Amino acid sequence: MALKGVESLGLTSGTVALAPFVQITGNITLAVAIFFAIFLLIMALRWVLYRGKTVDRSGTWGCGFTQPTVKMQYTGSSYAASILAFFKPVAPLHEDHPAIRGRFPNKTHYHSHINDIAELHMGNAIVRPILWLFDQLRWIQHGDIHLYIGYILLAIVVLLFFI
Amino acid sequence: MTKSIVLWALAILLAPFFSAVILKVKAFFGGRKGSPLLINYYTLIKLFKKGSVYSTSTTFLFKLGPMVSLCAAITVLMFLPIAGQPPVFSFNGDIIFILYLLGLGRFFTIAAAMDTASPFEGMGAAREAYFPIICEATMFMILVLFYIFTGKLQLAAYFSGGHPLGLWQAAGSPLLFVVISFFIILLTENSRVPVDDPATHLELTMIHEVMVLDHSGPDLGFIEMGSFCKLFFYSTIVASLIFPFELGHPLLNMGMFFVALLFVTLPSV
Repeated sequence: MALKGVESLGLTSGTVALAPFVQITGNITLAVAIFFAIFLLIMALRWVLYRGKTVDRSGTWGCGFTQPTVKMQYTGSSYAASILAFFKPVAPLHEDHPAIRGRFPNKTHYHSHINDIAELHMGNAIVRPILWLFDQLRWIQHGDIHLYIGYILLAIVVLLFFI
Repeated sequence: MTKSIVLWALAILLAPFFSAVILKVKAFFGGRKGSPLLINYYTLIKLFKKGSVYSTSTTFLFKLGPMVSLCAAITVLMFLPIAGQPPVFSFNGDIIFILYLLGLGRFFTIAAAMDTASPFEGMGAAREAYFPIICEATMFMILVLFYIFTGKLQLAAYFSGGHPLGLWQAAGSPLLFVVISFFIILLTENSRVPVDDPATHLELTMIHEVMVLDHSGPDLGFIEMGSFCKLFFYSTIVASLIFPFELGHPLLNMGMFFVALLFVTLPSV
């Protein structure tokens, strides 16, 4: 229906045939309605099957280990690890952890970051050179108010030539 | 239409049987007698009779998971042309709807697995999310090929109607690869042997089975039923690709279809 809304703007060349779209969306709605009807049936079946049954609650099965803590949970990065390993060329993983040395190693740390190659290369190829260029021009801004007034005067004098 | 609905109901009822045939053949080649052919029905009845134990960390999502995955699998069977008959429900573009319906079922299985806060199930969920990414890419490549041949994005247009040998005559050699890749998709999506082993008892190596560790009773029954339907769906597609013949009589077609289905399920042992 959004198509009908923007029709008056005349953005499209000729009229857009709406009928096929309407038919497809109508069919999808019908299919979803069937899906929902079956879902309700299964829900009713589940209710019947669980009527008068004992339903217990207990801790999550942990292969015999009964004291899990929050630190042991499966994290988002571990969930995505296998997918990211597959897509390594487009999502390189950056890990930062010092090597462990000696028999009594010092305190260590681990930090990981998934890079977005678009962001990474944009930073390397565009942002950094521009920052470097403007770093070279930093001497213009020195904090001397007299010279700033001089800049304004110079600008006015230059502009006079264009009148 | 009535015939299609009967076939749909029959497909749901027979799905556990075909899964049991796989077990039987596997046992035969292992030199064992194996479980009876009706084992899956016994299992389902046993599970439906039981109560459940829920983990204290779970929410309503955990109970929703089995229902949605079964519902998705049953709805998908509605779009499936069985034995050359038109499906119960079909429209142009339904194949994409079907793929994402299966995706919805998968999403809820993964969400239910994550809901238990068990690291094992997280691992299984990660694998379950990872493999279908590759499968989906393959599926869409196959769809592109089918679309080029038939001009339709409709499951019924590929596997039913009066041109049973059409696709093979138009492009036999690409279709051979389609059959091979579809078979690999079948093995992956239904956690069959080279990818996963449904019979293993080591949680770290499982994909689908590890996600249902905390389900019990009728909920587990729903999940099992859903996976039988899913296996039926994929094997039917491969069967209709391998045996695209029309024998002239609906009953003969049915018979040939079931033979083809057995033929497909055999190598997936």
